[in-house]
Amino acid sequence: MSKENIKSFSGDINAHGVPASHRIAKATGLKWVIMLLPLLFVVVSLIISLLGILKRSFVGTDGFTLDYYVKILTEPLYTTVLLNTLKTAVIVTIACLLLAYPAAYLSVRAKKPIVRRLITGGILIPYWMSMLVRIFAWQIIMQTNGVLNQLLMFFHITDEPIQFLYTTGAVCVSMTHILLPYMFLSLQSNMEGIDENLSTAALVMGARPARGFVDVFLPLSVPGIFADSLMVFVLSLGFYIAPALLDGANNQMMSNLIEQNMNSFNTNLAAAMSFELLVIVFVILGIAFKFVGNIFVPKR
Amino acid sequence: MSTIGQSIKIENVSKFYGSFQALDTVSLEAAPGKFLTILGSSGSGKTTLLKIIAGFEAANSGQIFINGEDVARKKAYERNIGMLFQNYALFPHMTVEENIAYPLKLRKCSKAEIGERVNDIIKLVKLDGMEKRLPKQLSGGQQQRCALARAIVYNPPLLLLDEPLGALDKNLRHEMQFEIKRIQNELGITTISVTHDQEEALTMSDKICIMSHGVIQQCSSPEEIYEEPKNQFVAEFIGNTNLIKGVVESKKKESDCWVSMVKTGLTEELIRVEEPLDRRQYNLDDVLLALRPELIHLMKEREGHINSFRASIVNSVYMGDYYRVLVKTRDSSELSVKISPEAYRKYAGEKELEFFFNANCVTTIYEKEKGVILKTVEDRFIPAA
Repeated sequence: MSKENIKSFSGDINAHGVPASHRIAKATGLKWVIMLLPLLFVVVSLIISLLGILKRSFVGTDGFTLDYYVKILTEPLYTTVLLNTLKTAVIVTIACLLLAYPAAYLSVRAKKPIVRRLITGGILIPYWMSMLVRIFAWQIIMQTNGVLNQLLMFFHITDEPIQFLYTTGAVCVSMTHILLPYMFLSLQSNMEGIDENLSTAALVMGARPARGFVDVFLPLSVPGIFADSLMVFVLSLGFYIAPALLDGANNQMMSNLIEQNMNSFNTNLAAAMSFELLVIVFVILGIAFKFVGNIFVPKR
Repeated sequence: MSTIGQSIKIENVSKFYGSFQALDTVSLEAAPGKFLTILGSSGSGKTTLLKIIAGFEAANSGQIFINGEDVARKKAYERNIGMLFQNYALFPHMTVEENIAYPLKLRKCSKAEIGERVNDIIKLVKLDGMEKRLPKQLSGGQQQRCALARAIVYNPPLLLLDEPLGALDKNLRHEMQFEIKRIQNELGITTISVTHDQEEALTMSDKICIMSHGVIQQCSSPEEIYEEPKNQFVAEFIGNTNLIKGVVESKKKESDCWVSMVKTGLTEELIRVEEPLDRRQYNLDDVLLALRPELIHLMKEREGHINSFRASIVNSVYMGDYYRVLVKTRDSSELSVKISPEAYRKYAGEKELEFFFNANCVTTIYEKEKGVILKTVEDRFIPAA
């Protein structure tokens, strides 16, 4: 920032390092207004409607009931879908981590800026495309006589087309594709916080690069791995479009089941399932906070 | 105590980044157990040189010998060098003890040996009682002691210090200066330190190499650097100095020194300059006389003295144990002079004062013109009988 720019802010930098003009910074109560407006928005639009859903999940035709929760926790249809959802989320999270970690590491430690730009660009460009377009693309690729099957048959890896579409595998591939940039970007920013001198120090002390990575870089990146995996895991728990378009009726995910119940006017059941999912997310976040600390605020 | 240090010799090392030449045929040498400082401002190439010695970067040409062995082909992790980083580079997820033990673990030492050596070194750097702490629970000075312990625990023959005291506040810096020097002396590790802090360089080093623009300007003992700067850059870089333009009128070799008579703007008379016989003399007329402010004295009794001149006070600053005084000479050039408080209070009121300096306190500096090869006087000058 040039000197002129700083001057135009009257040189007043507040505690958060954000330049603000005197008149705005000194207006009493303004910061409360600024904080309360979004808070109000969240309370009205989110909390109130959530309370409505919560009420619906406990209230049947004859008043208070636990029937909906009993049903979703005992009937195989619902428990299977829940397990399937958790399984898919775990697979997607691990796949994202395995793909994003090396890419993020290479981009952060690349000596030439062009390497970093190529890696980051390669991962981010799909991110700017419509999610629907990407999911349809996977549909076309994985069709019975799609590109993938034709390739496999051409190289005689298989003689008959394999059923890719409408499997958990197809959903996982597509969700990994969509969630990879999130994992990559936050891993990258976490890794940037790891001092490169530490690896250099290990090198001077006699550690081969691989040994230095295992002893120094990897342990220091663990908090980032936890936080970012958790984020991707939570995002994939509630995924809707990819499973809707790529999944068969037999291996659905929670969000699809909720949607079906909504459409067939089983709103109470849908409400109970929504809360089930919400509680699972809260429990996971709670455990993470307890053991890893506040992982969403990076320690610098 | 025995010396674990080995000699290091750098010969004609050059380094290019694209078309930019960071190092230009740099050569230097340090004997086992000596403390050598590479002093220069940022961009002088000093850090590049350190990186090449450590093995993080490869030189484009030239050789590096540690204990007579060319290490150019050795990777950084094969060179067995100790290094203290500017920001310490302590592993934040390891305790003090684990940090210090890490290089020993890499060397596959037995557990008992690791425990013993870590204990010894922790005592040496006075970190007793801090073993189980994490780096962030240490103060800046303690972090540095820990980093130093980790750098020397495996008895490296060569220790590199990268701006070792840069991150410490002033009091701590003085303390650590002596600590590092004490430990380095005790163990006899050959040490190369890179810094831009001239005080640090003067107090710690056996030898100082002043670098600028990828070239070593002068490489000698702190005393020589300070008292006999080789060129204008060195004279101005280290401490305060007055540079006086002059023309050499005559030069002769006497029994124990070179004597030059120099015409300057200070006085009508010629200035007499005496320099030791081993100092290289050039057969050039234009010269700069380097004169430290503390070597210019106020002439209290107005008696004749060689190299005396009259000047008036322009400005003065009280520094506690002396006054730093700016004086204006006959040809209105300004000189910096140190005057004791008593003398200053006694004479400051006078309009003009008389100063003198001894003939052996001045150093002649012959500036190298572009493309001109300087010929030493010995080539042509016939010594006086």
